[in-house]
Amino acid sequence: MPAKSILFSQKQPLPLELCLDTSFVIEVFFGIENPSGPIPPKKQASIDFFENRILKETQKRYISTTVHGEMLEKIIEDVVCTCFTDYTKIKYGARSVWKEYYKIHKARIPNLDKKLENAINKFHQWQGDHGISSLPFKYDYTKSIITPVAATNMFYMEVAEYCIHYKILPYDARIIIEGRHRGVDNFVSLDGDFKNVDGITVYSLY
Amino acid sequence: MNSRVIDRTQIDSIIENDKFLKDYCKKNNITDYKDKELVVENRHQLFLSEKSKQKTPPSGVIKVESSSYFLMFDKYLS
Repeated sequence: MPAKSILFSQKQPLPLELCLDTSFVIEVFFGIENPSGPIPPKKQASIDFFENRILKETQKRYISTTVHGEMLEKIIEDVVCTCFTDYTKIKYGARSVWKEYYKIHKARIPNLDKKLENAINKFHQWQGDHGISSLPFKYDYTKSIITPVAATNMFYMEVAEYCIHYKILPYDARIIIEGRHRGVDNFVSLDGDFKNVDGITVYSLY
Repeated sequence: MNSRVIDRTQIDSIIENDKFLKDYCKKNNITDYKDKELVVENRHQLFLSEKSKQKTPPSGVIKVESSSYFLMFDKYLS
């Protein structure tokens, strides 16, 4: 049985605890300045509406360790790409090669450390202002979908199992496991793959 | 991935030795260990958020609003 799916437009009460996926956090944090390009105004309005509901109706809003990591990577990418655009005046196509550009030119980008620090602080302050906590991870054997074995890599074995069983990507599997092992089964995601997973509730745009 | 959750003694010790965390827990009446753990994990986020709330608004704003008000008021009287 797939996940229970609830659309943003449905008016039923929200749970007290929610885990936010990277796809959703990127949209609400960057908004119209989304580095991947602006999204249609109607879609943005639905996301903004649901964000306001989350802030009003839920008591605890979490991002998992993986979402936090993905957001930091996106923010660093955004800073480096902005520097790349300023330097080369090439706006499009920069994103696909940002890591190569970063490795080669990082020492020559003016004030890069300050720019990165400011951008990361901006995200962390946004988290604090919105009461969105980073959730520390703890592997809970009782919440595992695989048979417990005396192994130190149970987490990655379970990630693999989610990928095989539910046909989802490893990072999505990590986010779901990190939430579920801390007792949170409710996720907000713009990624349709989350709906493949049994036993969770997914709040989504479509 | 290793578990990153810290035990209760460590949580208490971190909060006790950190003035910001200690004051934050007291101010928000945080006594539950799950909440304390989140506060420790999110120290940077909470610190930046609290710091931004304490900033005083720029003094020029009040002056401009006041001038605008009188300009509008004068116009209305004339």
